[in-house]
Amino acid sequence: MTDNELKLATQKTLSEAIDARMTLEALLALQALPTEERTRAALQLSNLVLAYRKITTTRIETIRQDLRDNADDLQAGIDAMKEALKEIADAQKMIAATTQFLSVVGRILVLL
Amino acid sequence: MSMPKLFVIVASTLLLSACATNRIAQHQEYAVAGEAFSEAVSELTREASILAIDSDTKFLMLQKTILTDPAQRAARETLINNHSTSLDEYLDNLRLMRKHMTLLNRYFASLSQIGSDKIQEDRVAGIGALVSELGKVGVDLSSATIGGKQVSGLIPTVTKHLVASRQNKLLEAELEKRKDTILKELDIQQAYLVALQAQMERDLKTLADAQIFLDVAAPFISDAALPLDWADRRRKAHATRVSSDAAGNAALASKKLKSVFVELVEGKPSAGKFAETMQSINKVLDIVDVIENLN
Repeated sequence: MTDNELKLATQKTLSEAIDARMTLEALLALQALPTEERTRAALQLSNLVLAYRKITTTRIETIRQDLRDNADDLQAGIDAMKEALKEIADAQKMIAATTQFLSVVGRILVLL
Repeated sequence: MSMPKLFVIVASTLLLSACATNRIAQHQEYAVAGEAFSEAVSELTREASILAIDSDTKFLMLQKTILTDPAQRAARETLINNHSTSLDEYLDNLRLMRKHMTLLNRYFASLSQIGSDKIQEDRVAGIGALVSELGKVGVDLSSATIGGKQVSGLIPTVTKHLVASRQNKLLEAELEKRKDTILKELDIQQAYLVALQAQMERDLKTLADAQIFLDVAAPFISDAALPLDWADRRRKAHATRVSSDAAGNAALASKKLKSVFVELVEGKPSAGKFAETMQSINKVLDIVDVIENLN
């Protein structure tokens, strides 16, 4: 079982445990318990909710670490495209390219 | 050289450029889908943050009804401390994910700019300057004809296609250079959305269960008369439970965007895939509406 599969399985178990304790019937029964037991049950339920969220947070932290290298490369791509846009927008270069193309056509026309 | 042969040369050049234009359109579709996807995921992440706060708040309100005794003060302190720390940690991670989504969105926006038709139109608009350059050719092309068509009439088309050809080269180079990064990015996004979906489902369930207890059952069981909005509260609480299924659409949208990208890399985009992906991205935004309507 991979680390991720283990986390998923744990979250599934935690979710089932939370669901079982959050039904209307279970919550009404909890209200009727003596103070000490009520405290214990409330803290237990809270710990289940917190544990579930802790696993999600850890999963997202791992994902963010994986994205760190990508972020540098994406920024490099953005910078490269900014330069490329400048190059395309360079009217002189485009005039030269079009003129070159037309000159070829022109030379051929002269030969006709 | 015969006139028809010359016409073939020019026509072939333009045909090759037309192929480049088609390829640019494919890049453009992908860039547009990427932009829409990153915006949708960013919005979904924002809604997930709001949902987490609402769910945690309602959960603490529920706990408060269990921990009413003065002897339970320490437990109440523990709860508020632990929940605040946990929520902050989660929200901070979501905030950093949104920051990354902004970068991804800027990347797709740059791609979209490179493939934009506007660049070709801008260059064609500058054609006046080109006409004055014709003298350098040494032949009066403006009055010359090819295949019965005036060469001067071809100038805007030639310019447009030369720009298209350059755009295509740049886009292909970018695709080649960063295809592994994008594939990795889309895989990681999928993993993120699966994790986010699970947490959102959990938060929606917790919120619904707490709403049912606090807003529906408790006032009903109480000896006091029902609040005037009790029916609305009940409808809302049960609707929250139903809406948790909608969160699954985001991971699906990510999967579809990846398949559009893979087809682009392979040079075989299939018809309808773009529309299908955009539909799927739109569905991501459904959950945003659902969450906004919870309060």
